[in-house]
Amino acid sequence: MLSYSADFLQIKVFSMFHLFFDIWESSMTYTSLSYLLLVGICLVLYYLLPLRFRWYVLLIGSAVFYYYAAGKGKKILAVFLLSIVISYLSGIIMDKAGQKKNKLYLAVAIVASALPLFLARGNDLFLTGILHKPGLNLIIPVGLSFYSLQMIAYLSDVFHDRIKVEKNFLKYALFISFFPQIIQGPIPRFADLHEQLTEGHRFDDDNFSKGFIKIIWGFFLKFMIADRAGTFVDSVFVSGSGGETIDTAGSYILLAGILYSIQLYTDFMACTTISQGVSLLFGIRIGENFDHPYFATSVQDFWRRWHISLSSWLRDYIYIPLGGNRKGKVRKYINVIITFAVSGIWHGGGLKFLFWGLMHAFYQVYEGLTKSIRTKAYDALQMSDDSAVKKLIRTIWTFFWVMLAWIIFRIDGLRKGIIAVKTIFTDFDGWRLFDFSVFSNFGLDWKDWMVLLFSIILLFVVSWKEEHGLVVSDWIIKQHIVLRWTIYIVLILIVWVFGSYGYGFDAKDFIYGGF
Amino acid sequence: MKKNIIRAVKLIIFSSILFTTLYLANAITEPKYTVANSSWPTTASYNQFYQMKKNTVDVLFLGSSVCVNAFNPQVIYDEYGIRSYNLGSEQQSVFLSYYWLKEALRYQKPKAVVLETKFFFPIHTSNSINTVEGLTRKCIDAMHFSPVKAEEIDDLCTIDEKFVKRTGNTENAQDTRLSYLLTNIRYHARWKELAEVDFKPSQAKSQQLKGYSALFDGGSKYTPFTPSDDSAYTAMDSLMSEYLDKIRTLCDQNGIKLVFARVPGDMDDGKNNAIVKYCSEYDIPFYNFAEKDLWDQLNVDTSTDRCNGHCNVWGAEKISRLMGSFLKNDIKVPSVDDDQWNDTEEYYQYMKNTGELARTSDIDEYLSKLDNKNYDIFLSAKGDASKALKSTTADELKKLGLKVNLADHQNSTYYAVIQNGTGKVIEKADDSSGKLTHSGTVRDRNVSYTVTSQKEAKDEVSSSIIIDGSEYSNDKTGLNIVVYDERLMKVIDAVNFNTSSSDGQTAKRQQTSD
Repeated sequence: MLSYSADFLQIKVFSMFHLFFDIWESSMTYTSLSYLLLVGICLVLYYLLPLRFRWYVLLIGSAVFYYYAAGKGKKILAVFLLSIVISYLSGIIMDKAGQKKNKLYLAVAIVASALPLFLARGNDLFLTGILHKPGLNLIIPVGLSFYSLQMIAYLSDVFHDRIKVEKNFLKYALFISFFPQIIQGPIPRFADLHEQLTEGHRFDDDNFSKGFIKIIWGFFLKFMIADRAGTFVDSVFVSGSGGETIDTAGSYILLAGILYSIQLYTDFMACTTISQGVSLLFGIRIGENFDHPYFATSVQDFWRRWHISLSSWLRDYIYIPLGGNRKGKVRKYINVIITFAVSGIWHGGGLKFLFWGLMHAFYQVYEGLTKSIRTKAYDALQMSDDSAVKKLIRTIWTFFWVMLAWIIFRIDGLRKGIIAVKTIFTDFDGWRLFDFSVFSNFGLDWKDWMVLLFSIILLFVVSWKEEHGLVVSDWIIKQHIVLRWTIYIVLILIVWVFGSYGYGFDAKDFIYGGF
Repeated sequence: MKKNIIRAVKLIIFSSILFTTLYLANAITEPKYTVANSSWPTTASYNQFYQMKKNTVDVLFLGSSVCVNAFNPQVIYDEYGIRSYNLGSEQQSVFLSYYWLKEALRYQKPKAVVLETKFFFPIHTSNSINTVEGLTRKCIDAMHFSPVKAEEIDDLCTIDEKFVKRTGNTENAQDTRLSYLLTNIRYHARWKELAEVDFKPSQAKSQQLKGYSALFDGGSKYTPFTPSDDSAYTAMDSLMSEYLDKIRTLCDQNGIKLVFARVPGDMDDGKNNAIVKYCSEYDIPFYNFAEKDLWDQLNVDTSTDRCNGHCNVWGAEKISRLMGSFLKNDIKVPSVDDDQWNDTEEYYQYMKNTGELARTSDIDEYLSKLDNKNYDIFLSAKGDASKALKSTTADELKKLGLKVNLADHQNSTYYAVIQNGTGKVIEKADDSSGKLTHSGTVRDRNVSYTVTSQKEAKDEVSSSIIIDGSEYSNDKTGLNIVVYDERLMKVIDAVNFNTSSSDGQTAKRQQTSD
């Protein structure tokens, strides 16, 4: 027999070395093992170092994360770093200028800092979308849409003396690049975050437990709902869209629209929840980005609940500076239209995003104009504001219109999207929902559908409880350790066994990470 | 300090519970290939290898599925007393053979290694190691974790990375190193097909045929190869050639006689000459069963024997006997009396008999063969199952324990379930009812069934025999019979006899177990 003892260690170490690099070199996303490894290393270092040095760990962690998330692209890193330097210096200059500064300072600072975002959106909207010319080959840094808004808000707040300028470049760089939220937000305000990042936190059991729960829940939302629903959505909206139109009739488009609404919500919330969870492990609290948006009873209400950090940013830095609702109804509606046009363009430069934003503006103008009529109608039907039936009707109605807008948002090409929406009304083949072809034609079998359905039901129950005041993570950490650990392990096990991930599965990046 | 210690203890306990749970989940969801669920029961075959006593295997067979179906260690032992083991697996390329040989040498000191030559040449060219990803996994997963396995995975992934880089072909890429450690990455969708064996891993513990896989297909014709062109030459796959050299070196280092064999199949002068050249260079015996000389020695009856491609059990017996004679006379492998082979002789014969049943055509002979305590027999009538029932057939049915005389129930619905092991017989005939159905379980309530005989209208009749959710009835006029074997834990035959027509009482098979 051969003797293996001599090379045993060598092979073992060699394999482990390769294994480690396999993990490390895999793409860095918020659900990747490499990310969890990075978080683990940062956590150990963070709590080992003295309080005042802890923020350096976050800074180095953010640099490492961005380096890998950007695919080690040196140009991307350079553009990102340049934006940070420009916005940092702009802040310093405005601070130095004191009372002498005028709006030109702010305009120049914003344009210079967020130039990559303006170029990217202008390129997509005007060159590609309107002029139908080949777009410029621009360098698009990871998280561009999010960190640009952060910078704009920071510069505006410095300009209006709402915050003190950050003079420490590294601390400012950490605020912009904080790794748990750089890719997909939430978009933080300097006043809310910068002290939390740099002050250093002691280990706190409750924060750690809550963070852990949030991370598990984030994985549940992503792998159990978003990516599984995405398989069906992609089959209908992408695979079936080779020609000028979506190659399917109304019922599947409606079903795909509903599922895409759920996919987008759970995908985005998964990312936010994981960001919040990871931040909490370091003792840092990131604001909520969602407040059960599909329970909204109007589109206006929807935007109070959906992507809260963006909505509040648009309110504070676009809508209110435009005059908000202070200058009469007509100006108010114009401001709404401008704000949502900006929101649309922020999501992407294509015409479809602008159209999607304008749809939401139209919805809200319509809601404003018809409010008295609708109130009278409800009164005639003797439905008070507390009426559950009224709430249900309004919730379903709101969801329906939001869902139609999501179809435009999802399908590549505005014309194709409009035709798809039209098809729901003009070519509704309802029988298809009963011939079980959804189990065979769209990448999900009946077992997948069952898992998806049960997962959505669980999400609904949790959301319903939270809508009525219960904070589920707080409730869990108050339970006996046996029940608490059982909840953790069962949830992890469910995602581990039933999740949509792994070999042969087309793992999906977080959708909002692409904006 | 105390608080930190409590935290650390909690962390360790929680992590232990979590990792144990996830480990168990991975163990359950990893595929297990047994006689009951696969024609090539790789998991059970390799598991049995690990249970063999140390240094008792004198000959190892390595190669792809054609090797697994051709070389039967039981037959070789019964005939020549040679203790061999078949370590082949589906699409096992030379790369995979090398590592299984290396792994085997940790436990055994074989005197000879027989390598089947099919995979010396490029076959699956869009795959880095000449084997598709799924079957690479099937081969490697069953290997115990060891330095050899770690080296194999590392080697495989390195080769595959280079292959993908060179060809740009990511579609057929092998798995990552990590997926061998965290198997859920590979088998994340396995929850959809979990079966009894996944929760009772002891069922995959061994398959008793020492790596050989018995197939029961019908006979097959084959035109043997006759060498005609000495100048033709087909180059071996470069990676296969590299690992062939490694196998040769490994054998040399361990004093093992390396032997090449080719099961009848695709063969031409180019391939033959390349192998012969290699053999003459390194003094390796080559038994080319595809060549006319050896083929003629097999004495194949093509009506019953399949000796080419995936051999059937009768064809494999002939190839194994001839191979055994070469091992005995040319390679001088000694005969040794060993209970590890003696004890499995009965199992092999039993297995073979199930194959004999599945090729029995005459109804009376067929029914007489059902007298086996491991059989559960399901009968369901479609249409008039008694119109042309012979009295001899009625007698055979009575011998199985059936009481209903079908001759008294012309054009009736009828079903029967016979559990030979317990002697339990359930049967019912009804002249008036439109539908007769019965559900129950066999094999200690582990297998569920539903038998249906339906006569909705004059021309609307059907037969259904569902076992564990799968339909097995041929649903043809007459008696539909399904035989479930409790020992092998699978349906071994599904057949129809048209007892409604006097000239149609020979077996019609639509579906047989694999």
